[in-house]
Amino acid sequence: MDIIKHLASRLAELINISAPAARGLIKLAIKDEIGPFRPLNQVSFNEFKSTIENSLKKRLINLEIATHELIVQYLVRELTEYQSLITLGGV
Amino acid sequence: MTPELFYIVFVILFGIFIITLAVMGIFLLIKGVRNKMINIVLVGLAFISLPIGFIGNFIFQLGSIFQETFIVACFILTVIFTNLTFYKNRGSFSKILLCTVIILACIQLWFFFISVYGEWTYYLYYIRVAFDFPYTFIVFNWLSYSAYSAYKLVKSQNIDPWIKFRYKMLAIFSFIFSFHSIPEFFQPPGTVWGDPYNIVSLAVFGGTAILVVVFSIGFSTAWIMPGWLKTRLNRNYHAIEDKDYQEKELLELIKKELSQKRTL
Repeated sequence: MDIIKHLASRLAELINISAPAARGLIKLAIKDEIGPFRPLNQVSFNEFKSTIENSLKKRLINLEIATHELIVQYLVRELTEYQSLITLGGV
Repeated sequence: MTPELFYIVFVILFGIFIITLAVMGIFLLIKGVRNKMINIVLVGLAFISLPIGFIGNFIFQLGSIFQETFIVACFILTVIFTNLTFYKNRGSFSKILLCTVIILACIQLWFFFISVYGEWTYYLYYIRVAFDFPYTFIVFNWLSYSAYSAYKLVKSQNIDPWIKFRYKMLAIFSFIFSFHSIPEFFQPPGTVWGDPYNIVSLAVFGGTAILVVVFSIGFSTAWIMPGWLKTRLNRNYHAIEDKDYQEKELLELIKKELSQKRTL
């Protein structure tokens, strides 16, 4: 999923971790938010948004990332700007 | 080539247009249902309704109002698709545009009702065509502009090249299609659409046929992209293969990376 790849590359830059680790973190957050059985290409814009605002935020807090609030806001902005990737990369 | 032969060629082109759109519409509808993507379901329905309208009118003689109703459905669904794909949580301009298209669609339907049940004049014909241009232009230029704007964002990102190509194709072919109502201005009122014995009408028919068939083939290729084309577009791209981390393993890796960063 290119939207996950894109958000993860931004997250990796922001908290200084590797891109594969950031992708893994986002995928874990998606599992927390909508369960483990939904294929990633069926995750909607609203579900991505709630994932970032809820479960990813919690995971950032658990990792003691002080700027978690700003990171969440930034990722939601990125998601909104690049939302078409969900469709154009998902069909 | 005789005018009759030209006419047959243009009719075949229209046939290709209708079949291509129907195939694409069904493909998108199935994909949309399977992936639970409401916007893809809607655009699938949009491109199924267009052939239904044309086949209903030209083959089953159900009339121009029948055809226009399905065209209206296609255009409105296309704008909803554009808004759901590119403009969620991005202000009210997309909603204003949708309202404008709905108003223009109602105007078109009203003109078609007048043409069937009222007194139809050349004057009314040109007013209808004048309203048809912004209607068509907004629907497909909006999609084209949206795809192009998104393409500008993604082109420098690490994203599969075939996806970037899909953005480009949607932008280019929607842009081409947004002008397909222009030939209508030159259609001599009162003559049969594509009349082989009226050179202007035949030229208008031919121009429209070429335009729409180019759109349908390009737009369909963007959505139903063949595997060989994807492979060719991705030939210099190294796809990322993610290791399947266990949660504990991943969190330890992240903590390790973060602590390394903090000690630097």
